[in-house]
Amino acid sequence: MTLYDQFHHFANLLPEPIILVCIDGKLRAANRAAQQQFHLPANPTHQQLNDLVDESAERITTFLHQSARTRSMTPGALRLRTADQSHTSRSFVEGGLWYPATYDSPALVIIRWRSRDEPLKTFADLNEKLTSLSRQMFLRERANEQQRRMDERLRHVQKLESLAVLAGGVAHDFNNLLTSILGYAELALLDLHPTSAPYESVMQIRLSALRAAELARQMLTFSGRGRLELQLLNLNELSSELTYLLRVAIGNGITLQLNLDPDLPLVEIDPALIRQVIMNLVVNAAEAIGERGGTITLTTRMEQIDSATEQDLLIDNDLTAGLYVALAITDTGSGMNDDVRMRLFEPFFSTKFVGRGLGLAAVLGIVRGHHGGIRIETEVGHGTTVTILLPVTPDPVTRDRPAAPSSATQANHTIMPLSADHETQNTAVP
Amino acid sequence: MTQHAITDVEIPLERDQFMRSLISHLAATLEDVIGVGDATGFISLVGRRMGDEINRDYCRALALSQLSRPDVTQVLIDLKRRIKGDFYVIEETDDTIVLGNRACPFGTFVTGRETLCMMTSNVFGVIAAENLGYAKVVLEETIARGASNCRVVIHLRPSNEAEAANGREYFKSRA
Repeated sequence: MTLYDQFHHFANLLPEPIILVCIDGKLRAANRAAQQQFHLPANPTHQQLNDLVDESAERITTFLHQSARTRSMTPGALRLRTADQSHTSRSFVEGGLWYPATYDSPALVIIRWRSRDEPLKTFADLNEKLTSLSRQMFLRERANEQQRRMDERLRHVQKLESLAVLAGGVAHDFNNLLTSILGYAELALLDLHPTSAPYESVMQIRLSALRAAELARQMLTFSGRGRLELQLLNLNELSSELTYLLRVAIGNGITLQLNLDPDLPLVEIDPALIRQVIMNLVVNAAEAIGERGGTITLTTRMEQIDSATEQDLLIDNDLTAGLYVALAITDTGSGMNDDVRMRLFEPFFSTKFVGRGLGLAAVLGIVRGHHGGIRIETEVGHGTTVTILLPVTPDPVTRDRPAAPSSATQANHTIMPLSADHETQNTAVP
Repeated sequence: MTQHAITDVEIPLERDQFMRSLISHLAATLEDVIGVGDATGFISLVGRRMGDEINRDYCRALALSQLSRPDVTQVLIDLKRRIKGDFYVIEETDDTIVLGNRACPFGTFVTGRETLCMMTSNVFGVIAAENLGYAKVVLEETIARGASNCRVVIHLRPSNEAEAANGREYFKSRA
């Protein structure tokens, strides 16, 4: 809906003439009453305000500027010319700046008339109309803002998905090449004496290939095409087990607090990957706090996701409505601005001097692989909360699976990406 | 001799007293002539202008383009303090500000003149909405209606609770 559509949307409902005029006096839109009274089209392009009133151009300009500046009711008598060129005694009863000037659009002033001979009993009506008008504008603006946010989120999701496809494809082909490199390096090593100079060189080739394989594994994780060794687990147990390691990782000066919901249901997760998620997020939180010290709180709880809450999620995995286990990591660190927040999960994006920018990209891939979601709440100077949402696994007894495990703790299966050469891939990725 | 006696005589008349009395009589006359409903509407319109002006004054003085959520509460209290009201915070959440008031700036002239309360509603509403996007001001108790203190609830977000409350809504005037 354009700006003028928005104007007509509510102004046509009102009985008195209302026009939208640029601060330079050019008419832009007229409601139905104004169209009838002045014989104007809905969106006049050639008419000026001084075509409608018998006042000097200077006075009109002053009036418009005053209306734009005060953005409030600006009663002031201006003699209005009707369509038959007769003069009627009417006055502007309302003026206001509807849209501020920008580099590509001038300021727009909304003007409403009423007859001076109308009875004074219009103050109450006027107030109601004023409130109604501003409510319409407020609701329209809110709807526009919501649409803008949705568009922005969609663009962000599409960008991340494109990057994931690209990273997954590159990593996949890269792995195939690494398989050959590693295979031939192993063969060459068999033919070389361990004390010979070429042996050391080939060993270096092999080591570099293994490092490259690790990089490819992380890219595959980001793409959501990594292997998942799923088990039914309680996230509290996993978090508690990690406490010692996390405390070591964050160092002194930062307090780690656990706030775990004792009634947490089981979730089907790859424990190694979820450990990696927690570790990455906690280390990131510690880095955001830095030397000045602070607190990291790890919270688990249940969350009901519905269509409204999905809007707040940073990544879109088409989360179905239902129960989710939430794992929130809150820090009292420096927080993030919008630019950083939007690029946080992009591969190779990093705010650190050293860092490949794959840690959080891997978190995204892992959560995506678990059909979960991520929510970021951050404020510069006040800290950040990253919440991972993982779908609650239905009761194993009632789960509709042909090969459902007999007990929750024994459930252990592997999800492999369907690939013609997945065996090669497994050889290459250690 | 007579002249001296007139200038020395005790009359409760000075500028502040005069202005308060004038406003009270204006409100009373309006109520009598055009009815309480339209008088309320008229004072609301004046209140909107006052709110806009006061908001601009505070923003200019603080060198801010708009006030933050905590600033708004402080400004509402402060503007009343400056005109001899005695407002205080009863309760504050992200969604609402609840203010109390022990003294009306109009003094005893406000009793029975509920229309004057529209000045508070509009000034508060315009300042809150211009800076935070939306406000609904509910005058739950007022000195004008005979209560010992005023109790003013300002909803800052459209919600079911705000919708159910009997008050006036205000919206940000700029896009």
